[in-house]
Amino acid sequence: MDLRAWNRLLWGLAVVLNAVALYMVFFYAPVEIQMGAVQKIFYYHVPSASSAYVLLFLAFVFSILYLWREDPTYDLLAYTTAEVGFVFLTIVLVTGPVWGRSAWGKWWVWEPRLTSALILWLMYSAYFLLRLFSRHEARSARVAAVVAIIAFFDVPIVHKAIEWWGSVVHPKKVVLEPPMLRTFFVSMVAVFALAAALTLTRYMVGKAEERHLTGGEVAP
Amino acid sequence: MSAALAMVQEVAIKTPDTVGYLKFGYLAIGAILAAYLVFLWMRVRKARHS
Repeated sequence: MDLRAWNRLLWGLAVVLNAVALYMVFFYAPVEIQMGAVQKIFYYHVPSASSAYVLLFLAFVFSILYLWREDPTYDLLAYTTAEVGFVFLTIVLVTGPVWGRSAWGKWWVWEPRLTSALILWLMYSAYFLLRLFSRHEARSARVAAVVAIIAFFDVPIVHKAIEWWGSVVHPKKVVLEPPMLRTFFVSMVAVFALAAALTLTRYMVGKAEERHLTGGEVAP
Repeated sequence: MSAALAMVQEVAIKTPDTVGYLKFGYLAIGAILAAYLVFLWMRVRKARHS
Protein backbone atom coordinates (compact mmCIF):
# COMPACT_ATOMS: atom_id res chain seq x y z
CA MET A 1 0.00 0.00 0.00
CA ASP A 2 1.46 3.38 -0.99
CA LEU A 3 1.42 6.60 1.07
CA ARG A 4 -1.68 8.01 -0.69
CA ALA A 5 -3.70 4.91 0.20
CA TRP A 6 -2.49 5.06 3.83
CA ASN A 7 -3.42 8.74 3.91
CA ARG A 8 -6.95 8.06 2.66
CA LEU A 9 -7.33 5.19 5.16
CA LEU A 10 -6.12 7.33 8.08
CA TRP A 11 -8.41 10.24 7.14
CA GLY A 12 -11.39 7.89 6.81
CA LEU A 13 -10.61 6.43 10.23
CA ALA A 14 -10.08 9.89 11.76
CA VAL A 15 -13.41 11.25 10.40
CA VAL A 16 -15.44 8.23 11.59
CA LEU A 17 -13.76 8.08 15.03
CA ASN A 18 -14.12 11.83 15.61
CA ALA A 19 -17.81 11.73 14.60
CA VAL A 20 -18.35 8.95 17.18
CA ALA A 21 -16.26 10.79 19.80
CA LEU A 22 -18.16 14.08 19.33
CA TYR A 23 -21.49 12.25 19.56
CA MET A 24 -20.35 10.64 22.83
CA VAL A 25 -19.02 13.97 24.20
CA PHE A 26 -22.27 15.88 23.55
CA PHE A 27 -24.96 13.19 23.94
CA TYR A 28 -23.56 10.26 25.95
CA ALA A 29 -21.13 11.55 28.58
CA PRO A 30 -22.91 12.89 31.68
CA VAL A 31 -22.56 16.53 32.77
CA GLU A 32 -20.08 16.93 35.64
CA ILE A 33 -21.81 18.34 38.75
CA GLN A 34 -19.27 20.95 39.91
CA MET A 35 -18.07 22.48 36.64
CA GLY A 36 -21.14 21.84 34.48
CA ALA A 37 -21.12 21.27 30.70
CA VAL A 38 -17.79 23.05 30.14
CA GLN A 39 -15.98 20.06 31.72
CA LYS A 40 -16.62 18.26 28.39
CA ILE A 41 -13.74 20.29 26.89
CA PHE A 42 -11.62 17.75 28.83
CA TYR A 43 -12.40 15.05 26.19
CA TYR A 44 -10.41 16.91 23.50
CA HIS A 45 -8.13 19.03 25.72
CA VAL A 46 -6.29 16.10 27.33
CA PRO A 47 -5.98 13.90 24.16
CA SER A 48 -4.65 16.99 22.30
CA ALA A 49 -2.00 17.38 25.01
CA SER A 50 -1.09 13.67 24.77
CA SER A 51 -0.85 13.89 20.95
CA ALA A 52 1.36 16.98 21.25
CA TYR A 53 3.66 15.17 23.73
CA VAL A 54 4.04 12.16 21.39
CA LEU A 55 4.61 14.29 18.27
CA LEU A 56 7.14 16.56 20.00
CA PHE A 57 8.94 13.45 21.29
CA LEU A 58 9.11 12.17 17.68
CA ALA A 59 10.44 15.59 16.58
CA PHE A 60 13.12 15.24 19.29
CA VAL A 61 14.10 11.73 18.07
CA PHE A 62 14.14 12.71 14.35
CA SER A 63 16.19 15.84 15.16
CA ILE A 64 18.83 13.68 16.89
CA LEU A 65 18.80 11.29 13.90
CA TYR A 66 19.19 14.21 11.48
CA LEU A 67 22.20 15.62 13.37
CA TRP A 68 23.73 12.13 13.48
CA ARG A 69 23.04 10.90 9.92
CA GLU A 70 22.49 14.23 8.05
CA ASP A 71 19.70 12.58 6.03
CA PRO A 72 17.17 15.22 4.82
CA THR A 73 14.30 12.72 5.31
CA TYR A 74 14.90 12.87 9.09
CA ASP A 75 14.83 16.66 8.88
CA LEU A 76 11.48 16.57 7.05
CA LEU A 77 10.11 14.07 9.59
CA ALA A 78 11.27 16.30 12.48
CA TYR A 79 9.74 19.41 10.85
CA THR A 80 6.48 17.51 10.14
CA THR A 81 6.02 16.09 13.64
CA ALA A 82 7.01 19.40 15.29
CA GLU A 83 4.50 21.31 13.16
CA VAL A 84 1.54 18.98 13.84
CA GLY A 85 2.56 18.77 17.52
CA PHE A 86 2.54 22.57 17.63
CA VAL A 87 -1.04 22.61 16.22
CA PHE A 88 -2.20 20.29 19.03
CA LEU A 89 -0.27 22.30 21.61
CA THR A 90 -2.08 25.42 20.33
CA ILE A 91 -5.42 23.60 20.79
CA VAL A 92 -4.41 22.83 24.40
CA LEU A 93 -3.43 26.45 25.07
CA VAL A 94 -6.68 27.79 23.55
CA THR A 95 -9.15 25.30 25.09
CA GLY A 96 -7.50 25.47 28.54
CA PRO A 97 -8.28 29.17 29.13
CA VAL A 98 -11.86 28.75 27.75
CA TRP A 99 -12.42 25.94 30.27
CA GLY A 100 -10.60 27.92 32.99
CA ARG A 101 -12.68 31.08 32.44
CA SER A 102 -15.86 29.10 33.06
CA ALA A 103 -14.59 26.81 35.84
CA TRP A 104 -12.17 29.09 37.75
CA GLY A 105 -13.42 32.52 36.65
CA LYS A 106 -10.09 33.43 35.04
CA TRP A 107 -8.74 33.09 31.50
CA TRP A 108 -5.19 32.58 32.70
CA VAL A 109 -3.40 31.79 35.97
CA TRP A 110 0.40 31.99 36.23
CA GLU A 111 0.78 28.53 37.74
CA PRO A 112 3.52 25.97 36.90
CA ARG A 113 1.72 23.85 34.29
CA LEU A 114 0.23 26.76 32.32
CA THR A 115 3.48 28.74 32.43
CA SER A 116 5.67 25.79 31.36
CA ALA A 117 3.19 24.95 28.55
CA LEU A 118 3.33 28.56 27.31
CA ILE A 119 7.17 28.45 27.40
CA LEU A 120 7.01 25.22 25.34
CA TRP A 121 4.73 26.91 22.77
CA LEU A 122 7.08 29.92 22.57
CA MET A 123 10.14 27.68 22.07
CA TYR A 124 8.48 25.87 19.15
CA SER A 125 7.36 29.28 17.77
CA ALA A 126 11.08 30.16 17.69
CA TYR A 127 11.74 26.85 15.87
CA PHE A 128 9.24 27.74 13.10
CA LEU A 129 10.45 31.36 12.81
CA LEU A 130 13.96 30.01 12.37
CA ARG A 131 12.84 27.63 9.62
CA LEU A 132 10.63 30.14 7.83
CA PHE A 133 13.03 33.08 7.72
CA SER A 134 16.46 31.50 7.32
CA ARG A 135 18.02 31.60 3.84
CA HIS A 136 20.50 28.78 4.44
CA GLU A 137 18.47 25.55 4.31
CA ALA A 138 21.09 23.09 5.61
CA ARG A 139 22.40 25.39 8.34
CA SER A 140 18.89 26.34 9.54
CA ALA A 141 17.94 22.63 9.57
CA ARG A 142 20.89 21.89 11.89
CA VAL A 143 20.16 24.84 14.21
CA ALA A 144 16.42 23.97 14.19
CA ALA A 145 17.27 20.37 15.16
CA VAL A 146 19.23 21.69 18.18
CA VAL A 147 16.28 23.97 19.13
CA ALA A 148 13.82 21.02 18.85
CA ILE A 149 16.07 18.88 21.08
CA ILE A 150 16.40 21.63 23.74
CA ALA A 151 12.68 22.54 23.56
CA PHE A 152 11.62 18.93 24.17
CA PHE A 153 13.14 19.00 27.67
CA ASP A 154 10.21 21.25 28.65
CA VAL A 155 7.68 18.47 27.84
CA PRO A 156 8.37 16.35 30.98
CA ILE A 157 8.40 19.62 32.99
CA VAL A 158 4.89 20.45 31.70
CA HIS A 159 3.74 16.90 32.45
CA LYS A 160 5.21 16.75 35.96
CA ALA A 161 4.64 20.42 36.92
CA ILE A 162 1.65 19.71 39.20
CA GLU A 163 3.41 16.84 40.94
CA TRP A 164 6.59 18.90 41.50
CA TRP A 165 5.19 22.34 42.35
CA GLY A 166 1.45 21.82 42.95
CA SER A 167 -1.44 23.80 41.47
CA VAL A 168 -4.52 25.64 42.72
CA VAL A 169 -6.42 24.96 39.49
CA HIS A 170 -5.29 21.58 38.10
CA PRO A 171 -6.20 18.45 40.11
CA LYS A 172 -3.42 15.93 40.84
CA LYS A 173 -5.67 13.01 39.96
CA VAL A 174 -8.88 12.84 37.92
CA VAL A 175 -11.53 10.22 38.77
CA LEU A 176 -14.04 9.51 35.99
CA GLU A 177 -17.38 7.69 36.01
CA PRO A 178 -17.54 4.68 33.59
CA PRO A 179 -19.47 6.58 30.81
CA MET A 180 -16.96 9.45 31.11
CA LEU A 181 -14.08 6.98 30.95
CA ARG A 182 -15.50 5.33 27.81
CA THR A 183 -15.97 8.74 26.14
CA PHE A 184 -12.43 9.73 27.11
CA PHE A 185 -11.00 6.51 25.64
CA VAL A 186 -12.85 6.97 22.29
CA SER A 187 -11.80 10.67 22.16
CA MET A 188 -8.19 9.69 22.82
CA VAL A 189 -8.19 7.17 19.93
CA ALA A 190 -10.01 9.68 17.66
CA VAL A 191 -7.54 12.51 18.35
CA PHE A 192 -4.55 10.18 17.83
CA ALA A 193 -6.05 9.06 14.48
CA LEU A 194 -6.49 12.72 13.49
CA ALA A 195 -2.90 13.49 14.54
CA ALA A 196 -1.63 10.54 12.46
CA ALA A 197 -3.65 11.64 9.40
CA LEU A 198 -2.44 15.25 9.69
CA THR A 199 1.18 14.09 10.14
CA LEU A 200 1.10 11.88 7.05
CA THR A 201 -0.60 14.63 4.98
CA ARG A 202 2.03 17.15 6.13
CA TYR A 203 4.83 14.69 5.28
CA MET A 204 3.38 14.24 1.78
CA VAL A 205 3.16 18.03 1.34
CA GLY A 206 6.84 18.26 2.33
CA LYS A 207 7.75 15.56 -0.20
CA ALA A 208 5.72 17.37 -2.94
CA GLU A 209 7.63 20.59 -2.15
CA GLU A 210 10.97 18.71 -2.37
CA ARG A 211 9.95 17.20 -5.74
CA HIS A 212 9.13 20.69 -7.01
CA LEU A 213 12.49 22.08 -5.83
CA THR A 214 14.57 19.20 -7.22
CA GLY A 215 12.59 18.64 -10.43
CA GLY A 216 11.10 15.31 -9.42
CA GLU A 217 14.26 13.48 -8.25
CA VAL A 218 13.03 12.45 -4.80
CA ALA A 219 12.61 8.93 -3.50
CA PRO A 220 9.00 8.16 -2.37
CA MET B 1 -5.24 26.19 49.42
CA SER B 2 -8.83 25.83 50.68
CA ALA B 3 -9.30 29.64 50.53
CA ALA B 4 -8.17 29.63 46.89
CA LEU B 5 -10.54 26.74 46.13
CA ALA B 6 -13.44 28.56 47.81
CA MET B 7 -12.69 31.66 45.72
CA VAL B 8 -12.59 29.59 42.54
CA GLN B 9 -15.91 27.90 43.38
CA GLU B 10 -17.52 31.25 44.23
CA VAL B 11 -16.50 32.70 40.86
CA ALA B 12 -17.64 29.52 39.08
CA ILE B 13 -21.13 29.92 40.56
CA LYS B 14 -21.22 33.50 39.21
CA THR B 15 -20.46 32.32 35.66
CA PRO B 16 -23.16 29.71 34.97
CA ASP B 17 -23.04 29.81 31.12
CA THR B 18 -20.96 26.66 30.92
CA VAL B 19 -22.67 25.50 27.69
CA GLY B 20 -21.60 28.72 25.94
CA TYR B 21 -17.98 28.17 26.94
CA LEU B 22 -18.21 24.51 25.87
CA LYS B 23 -19.46 25.50 22.39
CA PHE B 24 -16.80 28.20 22.15
CA GLY B 25 -14.10 25.67 23.08
CA TYR B 26 -15.12 23.15 20.42
CA LEU B 27 -15.57 25.89 17.79
CA ALA B 28 -12.02 27.05 18.60
CA ILE B 29 -10.70 23.49 18.07
CA GLY B 30 -12.52 23.30 14.71
CA ALA B 31 -11.20 26.73 13.68
CA ILE B 32 -7.56 25.84 14.50
CA LEU B 33 -7.74 22.52 12.60
CA ALA B 34 -9.52 24.15 9.62
CA ALA B 35 -6.91 26.94 9.51
CA TYR B 36 -4.11 24.35 9.50
CA LEU B 37 -5.75 22.33 6.69
CA VAL B 38 -6.15 25.51 4.59
CA PHE B 39 -2.45 26.30 5.27
CA LEU B 40 -1.45 22.80 4.03
CA TRP B 41 -3.72 23.06 0.98
CA MET B 42 -2.17 26.45 0.05
CA ARG B 43 1.32 24.91 0.28
CA VAL B 44 0.26 22.05 -2.03
CA ARG B 45 -1.17 24.56 -4.53
CA LYS B 46 2.00 26.66 -4.38
CA ALA B 47 4.18 23.59 -5.01
CA ARG B 48 2.04 22.56 -7.98
CA HIS B 49 1.69 25.94 -9.69
CA SER B 50 5.03 27.69 -9.15
